[in-house]
Amino acid sequence: MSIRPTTFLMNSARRAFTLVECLVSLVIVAMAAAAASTAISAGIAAQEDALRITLAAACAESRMSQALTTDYGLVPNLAGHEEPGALLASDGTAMPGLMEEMGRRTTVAAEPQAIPGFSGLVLSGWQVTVTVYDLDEDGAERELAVLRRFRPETWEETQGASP
Amino acid sequence: MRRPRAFTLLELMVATVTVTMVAGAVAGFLGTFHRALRLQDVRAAAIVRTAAVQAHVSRLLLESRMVLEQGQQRTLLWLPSEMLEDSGSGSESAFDLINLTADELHWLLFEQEADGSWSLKEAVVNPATIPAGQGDRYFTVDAAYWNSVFEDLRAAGQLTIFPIAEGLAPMARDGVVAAAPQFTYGTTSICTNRSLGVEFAFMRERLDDAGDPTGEEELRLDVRLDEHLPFPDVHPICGGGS
Repeated sequence: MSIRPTTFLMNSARRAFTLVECLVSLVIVAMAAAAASTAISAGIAAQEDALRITLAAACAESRMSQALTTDYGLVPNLAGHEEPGALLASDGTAMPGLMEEMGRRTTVAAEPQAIPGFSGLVLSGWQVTVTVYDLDEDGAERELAVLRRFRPETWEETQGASP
Repeated sequence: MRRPRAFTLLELMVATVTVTMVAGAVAGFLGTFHRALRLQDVRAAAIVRTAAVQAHVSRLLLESRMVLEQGQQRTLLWLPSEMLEDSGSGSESAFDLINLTADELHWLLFEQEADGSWSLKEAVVNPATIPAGQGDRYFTVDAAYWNSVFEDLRAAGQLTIFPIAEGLAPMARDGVVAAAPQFTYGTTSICTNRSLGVEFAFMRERLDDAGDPTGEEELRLDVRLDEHLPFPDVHPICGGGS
């Protein structure tokens, strides 16, 4: 049995693309490019958020470690709200770059903690919560990092000494 | 049969212009695509390194008794190998002893590399290089003494130095770029200081088509970390109880 090219193939070898075919292929290429651009933009935006969250966690940790190392009686003095632009490092210097755009709330509440398994044993201490946020395009707060820790009153502190 | 017709000059010009425009658009898109991917890599590195530095410094501070040397590019943390109660019930002589072979001294240092970038490194004493009977050092508030300890150990090849984060730059604050990445402290006295600040930046210059730096910043991420000594022991020399 002999194999012969079909009439379609013979014709197509001599036929140019039509205007419609060209337009359709251009539209497909444009859509693919747009999809790739969108994916890249979304990836960059997600990374920008990840950067902010990483820095926000550092800002929150900075405040929390300060709370955990401040003399017990002075911990409530750390409670307060630092507006975006007014965030300060522990030595009183301004925070740089993106960190400067963040705000920080610190709350300190007296919350004695009962120790499970030790009936009647209650530790007095402070529940410290640090929230770091930034402002979105509409000026609304966007929470980036929240840390909560219990700062117990140590035995030495109950005796009047520093931790 | 129809005779094939050649392209006219106008058709060729239109085709040439169209192809050029399409090629230009594709090249532009690919360039943007490449820069975006590169920026993503740089950002990802910045996130990971920032978290790594914070975790590392935080862990060291958690285990530290005091900050013995407070330099801008080098700081010395004293990580005791024994609890105060176990070292002679807090007697001054027991508190004084710092054993080089017991992994008690940890330096954090910013050093500039040959390419101009900075690295944050940690240096510890290699105990195998300390001759028997020569591992004892004694507490002092004299910064010059601790500087000489570092320089002597380094010169003698008795330190193991390893990087914590590389590719760093000086931090900028209010548009002013510092001369170098640096450490900051809550107070200037090692007796009363309880905090360590770490200031650095990730900076990547934009590259030209040949891959050479243009001098323009493509990315700058300024980082300020603050860590505190949670359990400081105050030496009797500093007025602490013994």
